[in-house]
Amino acid sequence: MKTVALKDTIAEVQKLLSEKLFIEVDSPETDLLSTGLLDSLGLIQLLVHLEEKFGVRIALDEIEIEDLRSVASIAALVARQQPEFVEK
Amino acid sequence: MRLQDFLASQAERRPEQRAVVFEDRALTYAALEQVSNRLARALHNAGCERGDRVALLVPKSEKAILAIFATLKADCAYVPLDITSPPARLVRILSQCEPRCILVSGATGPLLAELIATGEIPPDTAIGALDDDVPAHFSWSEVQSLPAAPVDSRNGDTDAAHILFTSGSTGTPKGVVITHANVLHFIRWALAYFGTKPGDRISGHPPLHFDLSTFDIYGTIAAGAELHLLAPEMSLLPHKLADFIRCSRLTQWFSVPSILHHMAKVDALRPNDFPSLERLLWCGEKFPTPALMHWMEHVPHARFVNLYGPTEATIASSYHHVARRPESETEEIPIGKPCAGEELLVLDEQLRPAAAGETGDLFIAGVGLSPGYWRDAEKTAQAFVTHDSRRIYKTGDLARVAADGNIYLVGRADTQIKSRGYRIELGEIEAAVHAVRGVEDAAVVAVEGTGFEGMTICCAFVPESEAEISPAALRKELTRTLPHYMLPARWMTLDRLPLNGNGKVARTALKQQFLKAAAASVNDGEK
Repeated sequence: MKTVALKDTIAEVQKLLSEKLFIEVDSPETDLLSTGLLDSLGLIQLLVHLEEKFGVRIALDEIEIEDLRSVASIAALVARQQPEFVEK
Repeated sequence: MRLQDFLASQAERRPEQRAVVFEDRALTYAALEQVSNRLARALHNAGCERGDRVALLVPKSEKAILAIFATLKADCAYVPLDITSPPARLVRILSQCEPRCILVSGATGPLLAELIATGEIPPDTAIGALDDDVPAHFSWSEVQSLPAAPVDSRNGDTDAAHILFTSGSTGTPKGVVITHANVLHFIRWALAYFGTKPGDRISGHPPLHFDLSTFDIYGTIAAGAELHLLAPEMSLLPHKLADFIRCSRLTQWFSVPSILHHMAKVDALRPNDFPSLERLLWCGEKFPTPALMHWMEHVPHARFVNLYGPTEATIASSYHHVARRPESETEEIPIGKPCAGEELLVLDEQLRPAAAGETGDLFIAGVGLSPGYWRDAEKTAQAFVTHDSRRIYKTGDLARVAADGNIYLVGRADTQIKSRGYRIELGEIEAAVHAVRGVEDAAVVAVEGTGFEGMTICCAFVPESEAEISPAALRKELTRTLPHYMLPARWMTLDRLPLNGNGKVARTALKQQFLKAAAASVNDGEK
C-alpha cells in the first residue's frame, strides 16, 4: 500500500503556495492568517490546486479557520482527506 | 459635542449592557467608559496633548475599541494601522503622522520591534501596551491602576478624530483627516434613517483602517446597541460568516459588497436566513445585481441599502434603498440621493452641471467633507476645490444623474481601483515595482475579475538585460513594500512594454493581453 508522510505533504503544499500562488513562507509554521498572506481569493485558488495535486476535494463549508493557519495545518487538512495517509 | 460624548451618555443610561463583543469576550458600556478613561489618563501622562496623533498598532479587538475612545478622550486623533502591511509601508505612514504615542498589544509586539529596528521611529515616541508582556512606557497593569473617573477633554467638534491612510498614486500613502463633526453629522442622519435602537446587534466587519468601521463603532455606541466585531480571517470562510450572523442574531450587517458576493457565490445562505437581520448595508464598491438578487431572495425580510461615499467625505454621502428585488440581472443599482447635509454634483469639464443622463465628474459638498490630506496642501488643493463659493471634493468617480434624480456610478476617471473593498492606486503599485532592483520597466493594470473579487491586478514587467527576475521573486520583493491586497495576481514578463502612438504605455492593449492569457489558461484547465 502506498503511504504518504506528512512531511512530504508539507513540502508539496509549500511548493504549491510558492509556485502557484506566489506566497513565500519562512517556515511551515508561518502564520498565513495574521500576516494576511492568504486571502479569500488565494484560498479559492489554493483549494483548486490542492484538488489537482492531491486528488482531494475539500469543501469550503467543511474547513475551520485553524485548518488554514499555516502550511503545516493545510498539509494536515489534506492528509485527513487521503485514505493512504499514515502518520510518520 | 464630540464622539466620545456618545459613550459617556450611554454608559450612564445602560452601564451593564454589552457595548462590544469579540470572540468570547465582551465589554459593558460602564467598562468601555471607565477603562477608556484610564487609558486616556495614561496617554496624557505619556505626554499626549490636544491635536497629537496616537497610532494603533493593535489587532481588531475590543481593546482596539477601548484605544479609540481613549485617544479621543485624550484630545488626540487615532491613526489605525493595518497590521498586515509590511513594516516599510507602516514606517512611511508613521513618519508622516508623527504620533506622540504608539499603542501596541502582545500580538503586535514583534511587529513594533521591527518598526523600531528601522531607526525611523523617533526615540521620544511613547509606547503604550494593551497587554503586559510587551516592553513599553506604560503597561496594561499601570493603565488599570489609574482612576476611572471621567477625563476633562478639551477637544471640540472641529478637532481631528482620526486620520485614515489610503493608497497614494505617487507611491506614498496619503492621510485623510476626519473631524468629529464629519462623523457626527453622518451618525445623526443614519440613526434617524435606519431607526437604530438599544438592543440592536450590529456587525463590525471592516478593518479599523477602513472608514466603514467608524459607522459601526459610533453608530452602535450612539444608539446604545451592541457591536459584534468579526476577526479578519473569518472572511476567508463565507459559511463561517453566515454562522456568525445567525449565532450573534445580528440586526444590522454592513460591509463591502465583495464579501456578500462571495457568500452568495458559494451558497452560504439558507432560505429565509438570518431571521433577526433587519437591514443589510453595503458601501465601497458596486454590489453585482445577481448577488444582490440572491441575497434579497434568501433574506426577504431585511431592508437593503446601498451607501456611497469615499473616505474624504466620511462616512457615506448618498444612499439608495433597494425597495424591491431587481427583476433582471442587468438592472443597475444607483448610489441614490444625498444623505442630509450632503450634496452630490455631476459636473462637466467646465464645472457646469452635466445634462441629465450625461456622464460627468462626481463631486461632493457638505458636512462630511474632510478638511484635507494630512500635511499635504498640494494634494488637498487638487482634490478639494472651491466652486460657487463652497468647497467641493472631486471623487474621481464618473457618474450620471437619471431623470428621477438618482445618481448612477459609471466608472473612474483615473487608475484608482477597488479590489475586495480596498481602494488601490495602481500608481502606488507601479512605483513599488519600479523600485525593485532588476526591473527595467513595468506597468500595472487592472482587469475585471470573473469571481467575487472585483478587479484583478496585473503586472507586466521588463527585466534588466542581465537580471533574471521571476514573477515569484518580484512578488516576494514587493511583499516588503506593499500590503498583500495590492500584490498583483497575474504576471507577464516582456522584452518591452507595448507603447501607443504618443510613446505612452498602451494600457488598453496590455489589459487585452492579460484577458487573453487568462482565457487561454481557463481553456487549458478544461482540457
